[in-house]
Amino acid sequence: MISEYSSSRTMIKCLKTIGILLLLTGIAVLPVKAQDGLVTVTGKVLSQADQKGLPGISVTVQNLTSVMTADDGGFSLSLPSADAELSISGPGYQTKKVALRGRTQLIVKLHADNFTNSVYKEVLMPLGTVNNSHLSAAAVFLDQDKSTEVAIMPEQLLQAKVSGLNAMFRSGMEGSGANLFVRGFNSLYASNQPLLVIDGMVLENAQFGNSLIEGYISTPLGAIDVQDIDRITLIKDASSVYGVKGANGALLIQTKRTTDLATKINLMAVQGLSLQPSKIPMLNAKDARHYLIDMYQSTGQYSATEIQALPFVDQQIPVQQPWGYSGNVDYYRYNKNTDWQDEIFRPAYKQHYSLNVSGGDEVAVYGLSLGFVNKESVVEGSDFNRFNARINTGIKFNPAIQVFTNMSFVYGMKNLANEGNAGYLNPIYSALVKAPFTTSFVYDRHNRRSPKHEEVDFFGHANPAVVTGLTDTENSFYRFLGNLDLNIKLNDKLKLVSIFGIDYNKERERIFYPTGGIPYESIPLAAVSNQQQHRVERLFSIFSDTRLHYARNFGYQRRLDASLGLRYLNSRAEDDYGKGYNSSSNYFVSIGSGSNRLYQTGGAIGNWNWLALYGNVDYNHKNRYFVNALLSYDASSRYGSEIAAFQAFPSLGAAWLISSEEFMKNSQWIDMFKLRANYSMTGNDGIGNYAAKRYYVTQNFLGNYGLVRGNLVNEKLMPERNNKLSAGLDLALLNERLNISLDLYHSTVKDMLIHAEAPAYTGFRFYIENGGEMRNRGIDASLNARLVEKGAFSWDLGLAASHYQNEILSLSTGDFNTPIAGGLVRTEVGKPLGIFYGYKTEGIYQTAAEAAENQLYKMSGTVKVPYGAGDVRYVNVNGDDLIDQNDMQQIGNPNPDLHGSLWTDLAWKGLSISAVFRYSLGNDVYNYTRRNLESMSSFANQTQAVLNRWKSEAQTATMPRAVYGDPMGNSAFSDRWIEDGSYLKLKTLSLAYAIPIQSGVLRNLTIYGTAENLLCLTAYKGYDPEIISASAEMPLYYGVDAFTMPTCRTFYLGIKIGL
Amino acid sequence: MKTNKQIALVVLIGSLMLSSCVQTDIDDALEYDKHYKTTEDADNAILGVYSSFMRMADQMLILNELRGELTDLTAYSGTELQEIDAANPSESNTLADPTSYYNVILNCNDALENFKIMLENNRMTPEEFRERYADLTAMRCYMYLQLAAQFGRVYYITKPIVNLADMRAYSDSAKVTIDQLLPLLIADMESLEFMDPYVTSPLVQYNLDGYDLSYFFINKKLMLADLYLWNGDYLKAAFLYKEIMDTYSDGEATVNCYTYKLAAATTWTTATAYSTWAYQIFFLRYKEDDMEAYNNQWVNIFSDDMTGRRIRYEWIWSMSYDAAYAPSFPLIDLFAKPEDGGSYLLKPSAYAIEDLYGSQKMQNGFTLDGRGPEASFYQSSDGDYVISKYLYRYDPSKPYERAGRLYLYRGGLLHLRYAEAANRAGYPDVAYAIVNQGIAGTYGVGLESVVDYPEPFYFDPRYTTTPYYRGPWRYNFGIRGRAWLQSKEGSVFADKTLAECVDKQDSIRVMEKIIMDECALECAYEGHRFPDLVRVARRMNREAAGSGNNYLQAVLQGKYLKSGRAVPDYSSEEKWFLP
Repeated sequence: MISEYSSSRTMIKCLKTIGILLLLTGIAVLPVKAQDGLVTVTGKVLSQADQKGLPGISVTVQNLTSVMTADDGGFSLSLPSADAELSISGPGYQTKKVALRGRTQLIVKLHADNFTNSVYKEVLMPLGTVNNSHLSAAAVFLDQDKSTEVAIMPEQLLQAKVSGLNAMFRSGMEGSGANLFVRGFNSLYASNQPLLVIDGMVLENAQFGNSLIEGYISTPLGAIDVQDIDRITLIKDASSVYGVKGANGALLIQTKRTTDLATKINLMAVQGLSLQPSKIPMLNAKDARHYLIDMYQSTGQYSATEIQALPFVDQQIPVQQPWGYSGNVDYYRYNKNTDWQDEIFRPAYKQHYSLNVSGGDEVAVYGLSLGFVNKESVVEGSDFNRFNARINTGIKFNPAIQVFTNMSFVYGMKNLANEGNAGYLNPIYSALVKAPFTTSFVYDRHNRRSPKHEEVDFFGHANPAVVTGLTDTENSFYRFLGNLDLNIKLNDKLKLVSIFGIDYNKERERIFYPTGGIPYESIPLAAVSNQQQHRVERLFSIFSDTRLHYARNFGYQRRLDASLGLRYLNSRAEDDYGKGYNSSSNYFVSIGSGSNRLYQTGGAIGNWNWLALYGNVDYNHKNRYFVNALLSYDASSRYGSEIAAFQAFPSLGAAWLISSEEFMKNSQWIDMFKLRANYSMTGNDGIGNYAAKRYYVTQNFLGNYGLVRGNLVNEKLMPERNNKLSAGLDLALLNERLNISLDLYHSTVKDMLIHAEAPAYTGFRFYIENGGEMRNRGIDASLNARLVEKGAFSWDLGLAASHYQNEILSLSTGDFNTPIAGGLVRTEVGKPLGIFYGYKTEGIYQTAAEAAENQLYKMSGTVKVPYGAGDVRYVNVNGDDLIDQNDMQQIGNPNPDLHGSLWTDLAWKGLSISAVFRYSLGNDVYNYTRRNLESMSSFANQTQAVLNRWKSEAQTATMPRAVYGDPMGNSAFSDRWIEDGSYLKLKTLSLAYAIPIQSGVLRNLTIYGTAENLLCLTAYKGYDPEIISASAEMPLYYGVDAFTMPTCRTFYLGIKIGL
Repeated sequence: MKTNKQIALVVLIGSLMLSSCVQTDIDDALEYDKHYKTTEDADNAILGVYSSFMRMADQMLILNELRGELTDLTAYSGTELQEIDAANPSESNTLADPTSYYNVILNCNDALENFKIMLENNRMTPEEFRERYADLTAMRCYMYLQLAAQFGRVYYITKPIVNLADMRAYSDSAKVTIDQLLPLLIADMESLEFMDPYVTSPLVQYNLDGYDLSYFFINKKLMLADLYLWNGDYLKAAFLYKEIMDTYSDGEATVNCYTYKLAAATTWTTATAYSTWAYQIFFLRYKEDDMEAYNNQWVNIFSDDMTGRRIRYEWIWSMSYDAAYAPSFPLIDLFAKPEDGGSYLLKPSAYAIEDLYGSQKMQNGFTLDGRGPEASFYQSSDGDYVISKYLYRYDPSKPYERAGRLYLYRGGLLHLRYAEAANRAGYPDVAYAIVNQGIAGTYGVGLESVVDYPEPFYFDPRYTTTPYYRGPWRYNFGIRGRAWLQSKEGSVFADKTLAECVDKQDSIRVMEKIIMDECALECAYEGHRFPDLVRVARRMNREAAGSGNNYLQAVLQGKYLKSGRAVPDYSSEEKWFLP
């Protein structure tokens, strides 16, 4: 396909055309000025740690000259002018770029190469590496040593040190992925997740089917071992190179490649233990009994004698009589004291091993890694097992041709738990609502425990021990990710790079819910006794990316880089599931054993293609002015037929390295001061594979099928457009001991996809259109400081802080509400996304007189019912005498005012201590969990807060009265359930000690320990303010806590051995 | 520059080539360009229309019945039902949302438009085309009439709405009133080249899962007749009704008397002698005062399965829901008691039970209408009344086998509609006979008993041995005769009885109210009540302004007064309809 462009001459012509275009846009390619006479620059390279001269350090002016430092660190260079940039590097030390700024004498101090804060790193970017000091894009680069990292998910690495990213794990369950929101929200209904680019290969960070396990979302990042990662770049803007898939930014990951020819073997082993989460204070057996008696009385259907005879009320111990039993035969079943949270949560054991071998010769290098993870989650019965293998090779066929291959195979097996809105199948829900006087095993009339599990109890609640112990909710996946990366140097200016890759992922789910102990919803043809479910999801993607890269130096001060490429992604996903019901016993767990009449099957197939032509021009003038122009021209199978097949996504970036200017000559304490700005247009094609096509779907007609219209076709459906404008500065002071980065951005999402209500006469309820507009404005800041550096001792401190303001600018549908977890989330012009919309409350009516004074009513059907004593005092907004939807208002905003992380590292010789804190301030959380546990409307167990419920006018209550079914709507969606979700959490505290090795087989030996989630400062009443919602992939679900597994205190001990 | 142009050309051609390889196929739905290629596709589209109708029929039934006087709320009825009952639905009330009506209509439009294209492209023969085209046109008219009877003003759309541009082509001004709609629908129906049931379609050639699909499709002539009746074209309507009533009238003497003629016998001597042909209520001969001899075969109209012989004599249009396939039968949930696996959302009104059925007299003087208690409804052990017409195929001990039928058109209704048309066409005496003791019962079966009016009011009830003669109407004993009830001579809503009428116009007005009363008794809960009342009340308003409003109010208020709820305001035509 690329053959049209294979002639390099044509290519150069192309590039010239682009150059002319650049000229037209006002960026002049200045002619090379003739220089007369040479300037001699002398200097000295010292070590920052001990201020001693460093010999053998290379001092280079690109494309001009290079020298090595002498024994005392001194060097001398002859240059055409004192306006050059020196690159200084040497083994064991950092690379540093020093602009002469007209100086002819200088002293350079180098940090050791483990100095993580350096601002002169070569940053991994889509089209190659770019030195951070030359970068015009807003990108965060992570390349720290991960060999003593206990994290197994790459998302965990992103939780610290990255500003502008809100990485929130969906659950505390092992193997759960995180939702990554880059700079606010970028779409309402399409994906918000940044594009994944792994070793140059594009992967969509999305799921291609729906898990049968509630709340679980599979993540492609779960297939990447942290130990295999060499470096990561998060591009927050300037992702136009990924065109229609670049709107959410891009996460570039490069796996380990060795350049070292010596054979190296690294081995690490980690073991750990999670403690149980701190409990939600639920009613104990005595208080629960009182609550339930109140509840039965409030139904109005039980007389006092009937209530007295209820099995959990009647306190007469059963006594065997000649004729049977007297007393309460169920006495022992309903008079125990069980802490159900203890029953389902457990200390969880974790282990993780990894082996890494690398080496090679002049022609070929290889890296091989094997890893095994086995991590239990704190909910009984759930864990994550992963086996991963990776082989990366690099082969140099001749100086001009290099081939890299990256191949990984991962097998993962997760025992999951249902989360979120799964009812009794969610063990946390089951445990919290379960009456504490019940037990998990049957007790007979003589108080003898049977090995049999209890059935569904008197109140209709599940037995949590059955939910955690006898169910199977297993998800296993196999992922092969392989690519071949060909680099051909055509001549000294032209290079061809071609990547061809395959991503094959198969997920299987096997589920069994047993007979007994769980109340099931019935299905159309039968009452359900047990369930078997299987599911297979398959994704096959072919990716290719071929580009010509042209680089030309104009003297030593100017450089032009240009690329022209073609990218293609073909994906095919299939999701199939089958459900069986009512097998003959709990030992028949496969789908084949279900009842013949009751099988249900379903699934979906999706095909989509993406093709992009892209071009890029980088121009570097005097190592001070940098310009980057990019254009991606994207076609996608998802576009509507009435829009252009190719959509253009350009971007333009510029950076000015002020610190290299001559006028900065005397500001010795400034190492680097750079201003940068970027404007980019990117797209989001998460608009559904077929939403723009006219199609028909089948509909049952007895045993046959009829065909009916499938959708209201939007032939003008186009990708969302995200126009990002950002400006930033990077500042490095005092020999990089204080580094500051600051970014301001303003992004506008145009043509945002919305689900509009269709007029009734179409016969459809919804259609989708590009009818919304949204804006994000924000500021990202990060700071790195080396507070102390004295000999072998160093102390670093870092801070990342982000603030965004999201605002909906327009909606073609008008404002709308989305029902989520019994509440409403309002999408309103002028407001941020995710606003909680409900009633405001002002305490409760303590007396009937108080209530009568207000004269407010609630509609019950078509009847008006007055509020009375013990009811919640809702704020009446519109002044009529009714509390209804017209009185709803904004009651919470889940968007944080400020979020980010704090970290500190201390190192002394082989000993290092580091701590990472995460924080979020000013975000509201809708605590749906608590709403269930404090609604006082059913026989579900409640929290201790209900002890202060309204019972009579004599007392001053804080909670409304308990009435079965809550006829007055006291538990309606109101600010009672909205909490401040701010927190500060000590995410990790690590201690590592590298034992000094004299010699011998061992290269190094490190022992380390890490504690996770040690401390959390918060006023939030739920389990964990950090883990909010299991299914918060969509911004509308953001900030809703619905019975999700929390993260817990976890302690790890590890050892790392290098051979 | 030349090279630049070449490059541009290469890029252009290249991108066109590449973009074509970007296109994908849908694998789990049918793309438009693959649909409507064969007659099987066309038939699948037809099944699609009927299946979308089956999925909304409960909404239609609820609106048509709950807004009438025969059906009432229970303690389980939620806010939406309460609002419908009060004729004051809120904006979010899904029952008052016409989307599902339009869904059926737009599915029809889509198929009809594409049938035409298929005909043009020779993908269907004209024979195949006209059958299918007529069926869906009639179905669309049916949905429009249903829609208009509830919502008053409708968007009359006959083109497919495929994309957003199509959608935006209609605004509120595109709405038409019933008065404007009826001529349009009539024109649609009159333009059809084919008015008979399916003949060649494979859909009626075989049984699908044990069901004879011929019952599933709309009767086009009746559709047109109903439209005529709504539009005041009484004679035209009567012609079409009569044509259907006369199905097989010219057949062999032994069978010419059954189909759609409400055949009944005068006397039965043994309990088993009722044989397989009559849906009547009777006492065994000579035991007319003995309740032990009471036999109600009428109820079997609803309990017989759709394979029997006698079912064909009564049922014209009825759709079956099977327990094993979606959609499951929604009416069990609607009507059955919670202990029987239902939600018991609607029940018979006390007014219907006490005032309507409770005031009917049998021919022996007993106060009982066999079509009410133990037929249309029953009283459960805890005293609640339950609408049972839809529950005969349901066994509460097997709560997951939810099969049943939707009742759309049957002989009883046909006769009542004919009576309504005939009455207004100037033949109240024929209407009187049809409603009461039938042609044979009123005019006798002797040689002289031919009702010698011009068609469509000509009836031949003769039954003689010498000469041997078997008139097709010889077993017709009328709607009330079949239920062994005394003739109805007046209505509580009329100011006088038939006997007191001084002229024919008077008789027609009284007779009309009698017919409407009888519609309630004969076809209660079958989903006709509110549209029937609207049709007649509209007619009355045209005759004497306001009289229809008063009539509607009078008919409906009984239910509300008896249940102690406010009577909705129906004092002008706009107020009859849902917003």
